[in-house]
Amino acid sequence: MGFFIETLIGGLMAGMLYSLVALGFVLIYKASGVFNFAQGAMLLFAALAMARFSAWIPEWLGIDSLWLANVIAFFIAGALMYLVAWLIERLVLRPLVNQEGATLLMATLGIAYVLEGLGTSIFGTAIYKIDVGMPKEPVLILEGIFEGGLLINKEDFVAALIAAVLVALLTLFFQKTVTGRALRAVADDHQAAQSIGIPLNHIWVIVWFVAGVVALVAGVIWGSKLGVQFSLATVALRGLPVVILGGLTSIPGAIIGGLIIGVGEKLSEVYLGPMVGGGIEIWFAYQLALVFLLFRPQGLFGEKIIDRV
Amino acid sequence: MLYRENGQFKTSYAADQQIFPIAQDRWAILGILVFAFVGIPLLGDEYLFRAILIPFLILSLAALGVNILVGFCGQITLGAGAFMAVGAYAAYNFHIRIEGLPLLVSILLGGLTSALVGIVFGIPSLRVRGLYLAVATLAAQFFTDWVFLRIPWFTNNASSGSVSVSNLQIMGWEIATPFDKYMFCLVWLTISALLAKNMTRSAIGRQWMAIRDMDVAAEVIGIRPLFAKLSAFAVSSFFVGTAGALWGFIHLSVGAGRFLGRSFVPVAVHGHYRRPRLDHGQLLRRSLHRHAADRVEPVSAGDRRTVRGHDFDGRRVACRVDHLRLTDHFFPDQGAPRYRPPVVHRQGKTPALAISALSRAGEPVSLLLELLSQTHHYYFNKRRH
Amino acid sequence: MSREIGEVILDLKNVSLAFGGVKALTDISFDVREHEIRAIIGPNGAGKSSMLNVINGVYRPQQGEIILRGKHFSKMNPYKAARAGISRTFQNIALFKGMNVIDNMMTGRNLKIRSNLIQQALWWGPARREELEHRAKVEEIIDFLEIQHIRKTPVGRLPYGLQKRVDLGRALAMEPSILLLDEPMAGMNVEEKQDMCRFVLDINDQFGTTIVLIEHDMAVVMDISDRVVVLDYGRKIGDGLPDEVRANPEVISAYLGASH
Ligand SMILES: Nc1ncnc2c1ncn2[C@@H]1O[C@H](COP(=O)(O)OP(=O)(O)OP(=O)(O)O)[C@@H](O)[C@H]1O
Ligand SMILES: [Mg+2]
Repeated sequence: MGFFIETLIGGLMAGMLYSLVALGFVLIYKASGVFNFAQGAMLLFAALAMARFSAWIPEWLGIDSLWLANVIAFFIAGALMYLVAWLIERLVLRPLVNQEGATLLMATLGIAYVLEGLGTSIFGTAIYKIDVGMPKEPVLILEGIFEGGLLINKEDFVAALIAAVLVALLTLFFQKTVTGRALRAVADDHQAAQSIGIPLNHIWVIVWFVAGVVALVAGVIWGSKLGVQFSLATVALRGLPVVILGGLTSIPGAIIGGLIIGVGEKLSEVYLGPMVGGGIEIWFAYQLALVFLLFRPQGLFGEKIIDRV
Repeated sequence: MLYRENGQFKTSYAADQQIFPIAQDRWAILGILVFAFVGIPLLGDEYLFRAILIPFLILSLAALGVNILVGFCGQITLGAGAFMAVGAYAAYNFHIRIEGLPLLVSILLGGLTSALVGIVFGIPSLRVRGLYLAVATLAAQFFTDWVFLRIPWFTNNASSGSVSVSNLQIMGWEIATPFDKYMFCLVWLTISALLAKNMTRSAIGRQWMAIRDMDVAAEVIGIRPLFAKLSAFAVSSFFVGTAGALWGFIHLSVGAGRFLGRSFVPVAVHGHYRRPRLDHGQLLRRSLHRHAADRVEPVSAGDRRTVRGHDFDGRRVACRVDHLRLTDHFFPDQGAPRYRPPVVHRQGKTPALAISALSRAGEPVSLLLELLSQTHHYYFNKRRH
Repeated sequence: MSREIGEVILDLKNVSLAFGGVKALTDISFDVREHEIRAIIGPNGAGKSSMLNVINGVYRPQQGEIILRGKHFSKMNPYKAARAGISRTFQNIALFKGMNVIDNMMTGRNLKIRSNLIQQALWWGPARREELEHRAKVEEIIDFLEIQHIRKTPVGRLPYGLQKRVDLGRALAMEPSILLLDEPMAGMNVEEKQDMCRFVLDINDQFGTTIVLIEHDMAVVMDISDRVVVLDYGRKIGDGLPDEVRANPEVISAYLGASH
């Protein structure tokens, strides 16, 4: 029992991070109708910037406070993400306004190549560390209730906490602020939103920037866990099954989908994995999402597609 | 010469329904074929055949398959790489497990197996659409990759992970030199393209396009979505699968005459498609992927960070494994490697997808793109020495 | 073929259809006789299109059944309907935008194709022969609808009126015994309407096709239809000869927007 709960908690904590990544997809899809395949590249780019600047800044400025260096690096990386968002809007989205979904998807593949290439050319291709002082040692809790207690990874816990806070903030932003409402209007209909005076281009920069910040936070969390390297770009692939499970257009969907995938993945790996030789985590998430889709083709909370003729 | 149909009158429906009704098209295609069959053999050197033209032909074949599914039937799929791997492994297994099976038959069986798997993974398309389907097709990608990595039967339990397929022969024609291989692939591609073109201009092609453009209306007209979609998946996977088989048999057996087992095919297929960048290390990696991977060896068991191999010209090269990224695939037998999500997969199918989307506008575009990317690589490789 | 109105060919019994809370059709029964032109009229949102969608199986009614030539269908689907000889046009044109006029109409021949995928891939024997036969048939329809000049134009590029005509052509290519037309003249100018009326009458007259027609233009409906069904808020409020329907007080009030 203790072990099961441990796995469950581990799954929920991992799931929170998936939710965060998925949220990046959903935000952009809602506001610009773009399925952003470059999310992973953005994550990599942001993490690389963070890792390198936090190493360069002490050298350049002679600061020895790690904390200060990290904060400065975070803001520089954030500013870079803004620049990226602005460039994407300028160079990709604006010329492609009102194009088909598939065309925009292709365009984001292009963005991914450029970002990956740019990131590795500017920042290098070695494995870099991000040290934001995440606690590394696991703790045992509830030893009184379960035999041997529950082993909780503190790092995962902090990460999940950060992710949860960010997810909550983004949800509030989307639901309650004027900008958020404008975003939702744009999501419904580009042209209609434009015609009532919502500045489309400005909105897009904001959304892509927000997605960039999400990528940055996720990048920092994962980077400090695994090190910053090229494979970080694949973390976003973990977000994809979450997105389709939850529904492309739904924020609660991203959150709940993330948790389901996180838990499903961990449980399957622990209980099913040994039977088939392990390593099933990655495809299991996809199959889970797929089975789900067979029953609800629009995802858990996605908008139902009605054909009218 | 102007490209226009005006003034080209037809006096029978048969003349109007010939494969290229417009004269300019006929001449252009004829020109390209003559150039490919006669011109290139006169001009090309061995390097050109091996490093550029053969992969170019094979990948064009794969793009042809993707084009049918995405371009004609409108089912966005990101799983093409998986079907290439399925075709390659199936062909390989048929070839080594059935004594004396002709090469041609092995490749066709590889394609057919891939078609069957394609049908299975196409079933969700009956309910799931658009971007949801695109992501769902990634399931095929990850799943097949896992299968080939974990189940040693598919790679014939080879301890080294590589198995040799000796003398490639078709009806007495020994396919040995790069030129032979080029010709074989060219003939194969030409025939495949002809078949594909025929399908797209007859009833089945119209079914696909009808489903793509307006599926409700298609059903009302009497087209069964089940048949139309699954046949597109099958035909597409067949072409992609034969491309995989050709890749395994023809391309990789270059020089070493070996077929590397395990997950090499996906690596090769996907690694190959990286867009060229200026970073020297990455070029090296591409080069390793492409030409020397069957000779790559770990420097030492304890240090997985560096691999050495020969680049195409036989020079010894070393490469950091984190550049290779798909480390695990290169060390299949050193314990159970930690499974990492196969990064490069995404890149395999996507250019094919992009190319295919473009080729809706005109098939030549895809060929041109592929050629550009290939020559880019050629240029950089040449310049290095 | 002379136009002798025959037996009941299509009979709908107590059909009800709802979308969530919206009752699109409530307990509707009516029949269609062979070779007749049967009109369905009613204000916007009355459920006319839904009615057609039920007939050819695009929508599944919660209740009721469809009897086609004496055969009962409690579950119709579009493919079965097509096989049974029902074809239709759409209120919002549903052509295949990426294909040209000929190819759009050739899709209508799909059910008559006998050659298989392999034969088609090889462009061999039967596949090739069929392609020619069907092309000849499609060309007849092209001549009939007077659209020879646009036969190779991608349909997306055609003006609205011509698209409607191609939509009709595609339905005709199926050589249907029952043709469902959903507002074939909506949005057309007088001249185009006249053309379309002529086509509808000619189809009915020359091929003996039974026609179910939705139309808002009363003058047209009263002119060309044999019998008329009137729907309002998903209910049938009138059924009969054009003159009877015109005199029906309930119909008049529905059209004048009186409350009920
Ligand atoms: N697919 C659907 N999903 C939900 N509601 C629908 C659907 N199709 C039709 N309806 C509803 O059913 C009712 C009848 O619609 P229908 O299209 O049949 O009307 P109609 O008589 O054809 O009107 P019009 O003259 O405007 O074409 C309407 O309230 C409509 O909103
Ligand atoms: Mg209607």
